[in-house]
Amino acid sequence: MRMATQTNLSVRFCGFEMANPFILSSAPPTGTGEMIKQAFEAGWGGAVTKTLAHDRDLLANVTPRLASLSFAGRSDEAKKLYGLENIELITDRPLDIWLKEIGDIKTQFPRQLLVASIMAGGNDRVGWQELVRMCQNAGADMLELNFSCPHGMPEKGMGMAIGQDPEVTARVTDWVKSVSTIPVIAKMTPNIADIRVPAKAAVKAGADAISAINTVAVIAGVDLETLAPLPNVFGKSTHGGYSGPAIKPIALKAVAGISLDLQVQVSGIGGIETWSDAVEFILLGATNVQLCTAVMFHGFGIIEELKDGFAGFMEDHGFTRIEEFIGKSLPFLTDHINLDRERKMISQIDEATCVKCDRCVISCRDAGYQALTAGPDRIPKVDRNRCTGCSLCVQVCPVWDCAKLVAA
Amino acid sequence: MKNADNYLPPLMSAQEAVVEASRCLSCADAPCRQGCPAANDIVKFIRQIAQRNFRGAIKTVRESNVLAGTCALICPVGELCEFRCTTKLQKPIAIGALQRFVAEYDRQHGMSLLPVKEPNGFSVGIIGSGPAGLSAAFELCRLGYDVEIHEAEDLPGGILTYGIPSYRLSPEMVKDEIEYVKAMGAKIITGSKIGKLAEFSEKYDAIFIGIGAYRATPLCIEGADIDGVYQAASFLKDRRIAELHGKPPMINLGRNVIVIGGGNTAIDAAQSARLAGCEVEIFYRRSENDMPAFKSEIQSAKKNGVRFHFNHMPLRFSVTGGRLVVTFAKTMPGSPDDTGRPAPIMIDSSGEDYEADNILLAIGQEATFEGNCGIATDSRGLIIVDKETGATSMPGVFAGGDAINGGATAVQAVADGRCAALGIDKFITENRQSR
Ligand SMILES: Cc1cc2nc3c(=O)[nH]c(=O)nc-3n(C[C@H](O)[C@H](O)[C@H](O)COP(=O)(O)OP(=O)(O)OC[C@H]3O[C@@H](n4cnc5c(N)ncnc54)[C@H](O)[C@@H]3O)c2cc1C
Ligand SMILES: Cc1cc2nc3c(=O)[nH]c(=O)nc-3n(C[C@H](O)[C@H](O)[C@H](O)COP(=O)(O)O)c2cc1C
Ligand code: SF4
Repeated sequence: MRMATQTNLSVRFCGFEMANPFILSSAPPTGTGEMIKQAFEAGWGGAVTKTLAHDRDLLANVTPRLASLSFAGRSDEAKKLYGLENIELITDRPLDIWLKEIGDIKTQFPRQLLVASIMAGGNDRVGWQELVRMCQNAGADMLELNFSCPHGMPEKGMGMAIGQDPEVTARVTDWVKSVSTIPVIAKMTPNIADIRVPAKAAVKAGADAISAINTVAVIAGVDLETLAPLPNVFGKSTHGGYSGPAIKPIALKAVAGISLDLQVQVSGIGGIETWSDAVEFILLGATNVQLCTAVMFHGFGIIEELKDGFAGFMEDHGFTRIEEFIGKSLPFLTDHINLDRERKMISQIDEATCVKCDRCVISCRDAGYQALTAGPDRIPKVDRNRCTGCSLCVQVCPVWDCAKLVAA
Repeated sequence: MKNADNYLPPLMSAQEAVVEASRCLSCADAPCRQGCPAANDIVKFIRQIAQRNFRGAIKTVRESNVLAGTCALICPVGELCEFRCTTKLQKPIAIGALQRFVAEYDRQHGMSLLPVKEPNGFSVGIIGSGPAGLSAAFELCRLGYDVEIHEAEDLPGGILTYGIPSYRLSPEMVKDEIEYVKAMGAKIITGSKIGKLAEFSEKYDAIFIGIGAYRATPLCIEGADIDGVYQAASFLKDRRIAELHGKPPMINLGRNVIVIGGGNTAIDAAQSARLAGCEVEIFYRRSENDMPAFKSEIQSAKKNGVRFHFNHMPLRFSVTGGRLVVTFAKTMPGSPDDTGRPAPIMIDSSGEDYEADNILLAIGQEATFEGNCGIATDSRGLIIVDKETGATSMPGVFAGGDAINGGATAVQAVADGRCAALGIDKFITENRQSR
């Protein structure tokens, strides 16, 4: 029998002791104070408000503002989502209402982290500084500077327009820091050659933490009836920001890169859906994680499974505090030149679990090294001399742990 | 001899479980959960499987059902949770098989206990160690009570141990789940038959009665005491005892067996006889649709070669030329009786003779409490309780399981035990304050 344990999920972020590392990112799930309260009630450790701005900077939203890359898959599978594109703008609610709600939430939930996400133009010093003062007076625990919204706002010199320019990033961060009394997080865009450059500019200008990533600029698809790209807004379309499982690898690289290069706490964002996704971000340097699309699809209730699975991981590895494994996977990362070129692995197919689809045979034949052949028994045989250990067969094999690489 | 392995489908692999769990649509109102008497948080445990958090998943199930693995094997899921699954896109999610997968995972990786509150100094006595008693004990242990279960038989488990055949309910699973309840803190005292309730209740702050309803209803017709006529329940118990102690059974059946009845006991007796190599026929006095046995069990029996005769009512047993003869009258459905089903009306009383070597009777069960205890019961001897709390007419005495419903499902008994445990906690908390 295994004794019941109580795993401590708390973690310190910019001096704030969070009850757990799960935060709702700035997005539709944090669209109103009431929704944030619901989420805190459900057990979320923190929330970043939907991005606030001066009323003069708000633009009306369009419909529809979402499109997705879904995969119907086999006929017995329900539609599944890989990535979500949105062309939604920042909040469309007046600032004074938001400020009142921030105060309300903090009175009711003093122990949950409440971050105010804010946005103004790259030349608007007064605008930024007013927002900072208003939000900190209202009671927000921290600020998140939205340098990263990839659609709509950049056309007005906001959002990603700032995050793509390290100079502007540094300038705005400096304005904010000169009046802020609470910690400041700069939220980065992945739509740039090297995300570490603006991150470094923000940190140098005084940012207390970095959050990464915001959405990836994309076009989700084209409607083959109307021939209009998606989402189709009454005959016109525009590129949008991509989120959900599809962007997780992009986000992991961003978080790892920033963590390796800069002495700064990172809030990891991008495609997190399960407890194991969250663990991966923390292993690569994040101190906590933010989620949006997973909540848009499954609701606030997923916090239960996130916390439980996360605690199970810690129990299995004997970790008693999250701090013990933040960045624990970073030392594995090195430049390609330093990888071992001497040792080799080759493919091995487990005959007992092989389902004889021979997908690996086709892949190796047409995109590999012609090392696999299937005899009359339909079980692939590996030619040890031809196999170069690329692992394509492992990737295409539909069975867990059937095709694997073993020492050559 | 038939192979007993045919009765249970193979256990899912981890990959099969994750793929199956990933099909779940996580419906907002979770109709599956509404179909489960124990209100298992099915959406949550299935999402945990989809995320490969198998240990978390089994803990979720045990929150509402300590006998997660046992119920996964014997629940009539096609009439409960899976019946309610709304995925119209495809076949229902295999909820029972997924629950079985995580329960087996748990057994193989060291069963995960749930947290227990500090001891609160109060004690509860439980009569009966079937699903109802085990579930009540588990919930009370979690709440910090000192719990003692008294069981009349040599081994705990009730019908799980002495009734349901091992080809469809793994005795190892039952044993491990009973050990689990013990590890949570419950003491089980076997060979302790409670007769006098007044005396018993003096020792505890509250009592839970989970004595089941396993006394077979006698069939009062001519020849019912002839040699070779057995109660099906006794036959099943004899088989289980023989297996448990590694001895040959006391009851040995001849080649042709007639089973009379239409409940799970009838089906289990018929299938067990079939497994022993007999030719088996079931006679039931109503129609197939009115059979109380689970539909899946009836299908399984048919598949395994048990022959059914519906609308047949026994008139008398006799012996002719060394063989047993049952005389049956044909019936037709009449107006509904107090069970809501059409009463069987005899068409002609002349009857038709059927020969057999043995006859197994499974016409119903009754509550078994013998100690006259002053608790209010209904006309069938079933204990009357308050639905919200499980409280009986006597303050501080609670009841659940077959003893209050006359025989339903193991998961219903688990739900009753849990409900009564919460009722007991409320009763003790309120009493303590008024003291
Ligand atoms: C043959 C058969 C097959 C079944 N198949 C299924 C199935 O497939 N699926 C399903 O969900 N349900 C099935 N059921 C129903 C299910 O087994 C019962 O609903 C369930 O076991 C009831 O649990 P319980 O705790 O109320 O009673 P029981 O399991 O009957 O346990 C009562 C316990 O109390 C003890 N006891 C009685 N009197 C005293 C006393 N005075 N002092 C001390 N101890 C006492 C008894 O010895 C027994 O151990 C089946 C029932 C039978 C008979
Ligand atoms: C519909 C939608 C609206 C969003 N709005 C904002 C926003 O107002 N401000 C912001 O900083 N990020 C916004 N985001 C980005 C998310 O906060 C998050 O960075 C991104 O979706 C990646 O995380 P995910 O994969 O968990 O969704 C939005 C995302 C979506 C899908
Ligand atoms: S999700 Fe709600 S608000 Fe959005 S289109 Fe559907 S019904 Fe309307």
